[in-house]
Amino acid sequence: MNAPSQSPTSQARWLWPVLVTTTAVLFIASLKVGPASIPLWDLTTGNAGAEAATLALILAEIRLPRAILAVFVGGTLGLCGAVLQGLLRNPLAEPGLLGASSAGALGAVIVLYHGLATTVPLALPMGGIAGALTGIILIMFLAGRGARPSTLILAGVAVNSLAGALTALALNLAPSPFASLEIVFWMLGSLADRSFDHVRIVLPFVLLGWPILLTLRRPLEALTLGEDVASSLGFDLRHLQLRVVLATGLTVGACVSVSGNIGFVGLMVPHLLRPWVGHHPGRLVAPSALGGAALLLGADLLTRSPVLGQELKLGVVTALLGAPLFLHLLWHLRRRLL
Amino acid sequence: MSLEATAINLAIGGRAILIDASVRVDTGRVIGLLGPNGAGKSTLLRSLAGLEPSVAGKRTLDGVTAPPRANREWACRVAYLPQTGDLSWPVTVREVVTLGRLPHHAGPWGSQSAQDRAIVDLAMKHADVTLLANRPADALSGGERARVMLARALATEADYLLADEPIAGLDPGHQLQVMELLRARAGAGMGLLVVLHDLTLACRYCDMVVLLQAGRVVAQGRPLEVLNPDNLANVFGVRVLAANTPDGPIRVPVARLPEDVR
Repeated sequence: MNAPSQSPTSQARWLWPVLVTTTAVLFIASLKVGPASIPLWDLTTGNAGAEAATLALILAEIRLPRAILAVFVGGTLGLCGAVLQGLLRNPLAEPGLLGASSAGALGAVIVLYHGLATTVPLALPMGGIAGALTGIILIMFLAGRGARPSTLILAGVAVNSLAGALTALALNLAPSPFASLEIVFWMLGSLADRSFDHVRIVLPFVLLGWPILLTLRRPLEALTLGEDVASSLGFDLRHLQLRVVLATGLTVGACVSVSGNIGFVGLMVPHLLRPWVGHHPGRLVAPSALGGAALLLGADLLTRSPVLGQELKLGVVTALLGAPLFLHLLWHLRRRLL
Repeated sequence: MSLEATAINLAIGGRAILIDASVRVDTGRVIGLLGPNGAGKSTLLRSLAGLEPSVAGKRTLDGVTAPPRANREWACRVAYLPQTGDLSWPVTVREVVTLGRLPHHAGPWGSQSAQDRAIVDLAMKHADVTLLANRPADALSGGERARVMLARALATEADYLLADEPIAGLDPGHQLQVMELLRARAGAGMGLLVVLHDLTLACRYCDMVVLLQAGRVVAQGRPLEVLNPDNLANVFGVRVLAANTPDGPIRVPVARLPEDVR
């Protein structure tokens, strides 16, 4: 674990203002930046000239849903990372590494490419949720609470490999000429070309799942001292685990069904914020939602960087940022892992 | 007022861990729970604490049947201190101790009141960890950590404390310090059930001892009566040096007995 230089006694006062400001700035930037730069100020004051209508359309139909989705997906991944880490008492737990995201993507792929999406309403998010729930339940079954980090990661590797292979298989079998391109989208994730239809798919599940996750603060605090102490303090851990599994499945499943599998956000955000909340697993939860939103807004901006000529996949950026951090964490945990 | 477990039976994986075990903790008293490794001491403590839901038998708190699992109301009355001082995150000592206040707040947020802070301060004072308050709890010595965990249990202000080997791994000075601390809590009206291995400390600091062997209670009563050479030979298979000194009684194991004389 990294060693913060400041006293770990209390939460940094500036944490919330900084997180809110960063998120707001990145949100506005992601409305503005892209192949067509949008002069937001001119647009609102009516000085945008002849192109005003086109720019407003780009803003409302392309940029805005993309930014909103970055907040929902990033927030969900950050939130679920913090909650899973608290529940499993393990800084490596997160939806991506545990396989919940890839299992969710598998569920969405099966629904999308085998005709269900057009015949059944809400089939796409339901497929993602069913997949994510299956993944997270498999993890709980294979490793369970109080598992050693190595067991948890191995279980995650197993679920991830299986879900990845089945996703590729489902896409190869699908009647689509673009299957191999689609595989890349689902494995690496992207927020490009998303619309308000996608926002509408995610919104109800975020509204349902986030409140559950945001109110788990006290049982997660109690788990600091292990499962026996948490139980003896009056917390029902079966109930807690059920709430985490359900809320993670709902939110992660719905999110990956529109964004594909975006890795490492749930790992990075709690890890970066933990020193600033005094390593407190309960106080980490709410800031992680905002931190996740900010991180994904920023990462999505990087995908649009003109330096590379073409747009990167979002999962490539988060992996480039997250994988070194993962290695750093492993390095510090290696004694516990052996 | 008492916390009582009657005729507790518990089998794990087909193996009987506790057989008709009964124990009673009165407020204001320190009860020692002694027995060889694997006799079921920790399991009995956990059963009484409401951490073994599959247990058969009767548990009562002040005459009222206890809930099968520890709930919030129960947690305000009965504190449990496990042997392993598990700590998942490097939070400060003060924050560890503050966790003891959790059962006193309902709802998902439960902010701390000034009264909570005063109680936490007092618990830290009683466990002699006030000076450690702002240190990360993962960077403490074994003795300091044991006292911090004890302070956490005291901060609940429960009427009963169930402590599993609270002095295991401590040096002699810290062992005496923690035992004096527990004694002082009993003096303040708390009822304590303490798993111990030190026969001398059990004689000196306990009002009563319960001797457990292979899941059964084989003797209970005043320490000097229960921890007599015959019982210790039968239960632990050791010969003890038993003496009375100006500082109090001592019981020191001096030799293992051959199987046939136990």
